[in-house]
Amino acid sequence: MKTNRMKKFTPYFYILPTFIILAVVIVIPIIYVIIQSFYTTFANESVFVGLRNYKMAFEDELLLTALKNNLKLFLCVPILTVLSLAIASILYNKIRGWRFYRSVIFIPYILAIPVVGIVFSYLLQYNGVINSILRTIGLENMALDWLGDPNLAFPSVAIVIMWKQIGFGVVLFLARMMSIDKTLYESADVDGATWFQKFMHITVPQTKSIIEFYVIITLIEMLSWVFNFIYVMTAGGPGNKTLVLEYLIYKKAFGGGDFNIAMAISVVLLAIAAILIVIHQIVMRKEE
Amino acid sequence: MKKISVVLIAALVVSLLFGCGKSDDAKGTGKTTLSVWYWGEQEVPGYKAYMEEMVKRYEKKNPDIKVEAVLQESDNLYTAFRTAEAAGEGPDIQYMWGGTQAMEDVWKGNVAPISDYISEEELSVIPKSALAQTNWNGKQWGIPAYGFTYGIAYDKEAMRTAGVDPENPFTTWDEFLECCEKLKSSGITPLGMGLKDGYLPAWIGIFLGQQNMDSVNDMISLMSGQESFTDKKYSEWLEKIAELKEAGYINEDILSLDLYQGQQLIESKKAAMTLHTQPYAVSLEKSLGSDQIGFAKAPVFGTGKFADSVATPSQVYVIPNSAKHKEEAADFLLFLQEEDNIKYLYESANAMMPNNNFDESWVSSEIDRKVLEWQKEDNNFCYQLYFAPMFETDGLIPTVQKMFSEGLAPKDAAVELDEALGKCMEQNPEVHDAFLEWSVEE
Repeated sequence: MKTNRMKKFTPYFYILPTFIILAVVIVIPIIYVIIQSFYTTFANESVFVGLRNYKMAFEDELLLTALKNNLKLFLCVPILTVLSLAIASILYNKIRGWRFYRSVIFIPYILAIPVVGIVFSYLLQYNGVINSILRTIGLENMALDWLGDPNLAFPSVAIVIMWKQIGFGVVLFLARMMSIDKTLYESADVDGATWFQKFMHITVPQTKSIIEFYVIITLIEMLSWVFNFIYVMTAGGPGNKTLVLEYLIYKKAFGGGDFNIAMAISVVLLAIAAILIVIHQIVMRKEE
Repeated sequence: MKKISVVLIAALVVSLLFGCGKSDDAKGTGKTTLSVWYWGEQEVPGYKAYMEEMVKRYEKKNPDIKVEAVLQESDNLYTAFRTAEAAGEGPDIQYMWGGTQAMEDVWKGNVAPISDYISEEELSVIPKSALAQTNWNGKQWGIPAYGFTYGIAYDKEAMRTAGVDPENPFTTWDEFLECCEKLKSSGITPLGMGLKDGYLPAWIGIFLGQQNMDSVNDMISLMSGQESFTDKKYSEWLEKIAELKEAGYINEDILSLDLYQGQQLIESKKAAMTLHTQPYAVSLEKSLGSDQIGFAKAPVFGTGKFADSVATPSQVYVIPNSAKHKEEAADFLLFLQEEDNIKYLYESANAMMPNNNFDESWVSSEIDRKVLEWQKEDNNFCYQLYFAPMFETDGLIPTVQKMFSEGLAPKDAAVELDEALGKCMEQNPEVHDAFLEWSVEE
């Protein structure tokens, strides 16, 4: 009887450490942030203010600016997906040196974001390496203030993010393509299908589930994984042109010392990310 | 086997729960560990060496105390402190920039009153004007880390090349523009500055923003929303920024550079002038020679009593609320105020401690002699010390960046500053009330 009871509880003992770690590192902080978003802190005391922090956050035009910029970053997702698929497809055809190219394309993904950010912020400075080269080869007109010009700062950061992230998509799609049944391609060859037809009618449908996974993951990354790029490259500037939700939260909490409004914005970000995760789950279940 | 596994898991859980505790003594030696998080090397070169020497001296005097002094980066100074304080794991002593930049954390409850640990008599060596910055609600919350004066550091060689008298390059705004024009005509970029990280707008404000003001009350009226930036009295300095930009007197890559990168343009001979601190200018004077580096007051355009004022603020140390060793922290801070130590601060880092025991005969640099004269003759007012909470991050930085990146007109910039200020007051009503109370006490 006793042994049976022990048997019943033993699995729970095994998952207990993981459960505690998840609770301490993820669940409790999230609950704390949600609760604190309804308070304000003054003189080391928390005072309940209801929805005041949310009201102020939504009335603050910076929230809208940051949200818009995050949505603009979503535009990187289709570009990344198409480019990754195209490159993976080329590599799948085992062109000469494809293993080398695969490694080269994947290298940016394994580099630390601050390293990438710092390197590119030096490269893209008005008197940086890229502009120096442009001036040397007589393209003075193309030597622009890539991170200082309000019209160029955001696209410049977006391109750096895409450069860094593309390797993940390529490796992911390539891995899936390599497991596609080769007879499908052989049959298509017998039918005289072109490379593009094979790509559209075999490769894309066969990698559909991975594409969906990649799109959702990359959308979440564009929403809540770009802080380091912004922090290192532009600090949200010039004039908030590259402000994103994560950087706004940082700015409110640590720049202005207003943790509670920052927590309210964090909850908004969490809600948007949660919606994307739910969509991801629905898509995955449909696939199954 | 199963029993062993369960015991191991239990041990892991227990160690997870209790293994993260903070040890109070220095690695089991029984010594009290005093943690100091400081900053300053960026504006006071030599401050790190000074702090290391202070730690040695203090540990020698107090063998039962170990001081762990950690130099912070500009970006981490407040981030690390506020995060640690929120977790109740702050240091014993925290460095802060002066004025509202320190008081914000006082109002939020992150700081313990220093006057609970240091008597009025002990504090009497510090001039009241320096203490006033962090005095609120009848208590003293901070103690000066060092004092310094803002000025325009300039390359005398560049001035000579441009035909400008290097000993007296300008006093008025018109003379300044003339100087800039001569430099520009000689192929030299007159002003080197960096705006990317956002620290610069407050610096420009310190040089130009106060020039039409007659008293601290003018600034308080502005920051409390009673007055408006659209009034020329408060926004003429924005027009001056636009004037410099349009005339091409500022480095073209201002938006690509951080504050310190912009300031370093004078060292790399890529610009003739930059906004800087007196300790930094003195360090350049000592390394390059007094015939190479000069230091000037901001050019005067305003008509207020503060038109020719100099900004001589002090950065401060506070004792965080979560500090484990408040008594020892207070003792260390008083130790830094001892005469030998303030003398060493000046000798090693060129920074003058606001302390009645600071002896002017120690001063050896030409720049410092000049600065001491300014301090005696002119009003002391630092624009940035009175910024309303969050005004700098949410208002001043993006607005001035827009002036440079989008060509935002001074009039529109003034409107944006008003709007930002209104938002800051609305978002932080409790902190703003405390700010008003503090500034009135001032």
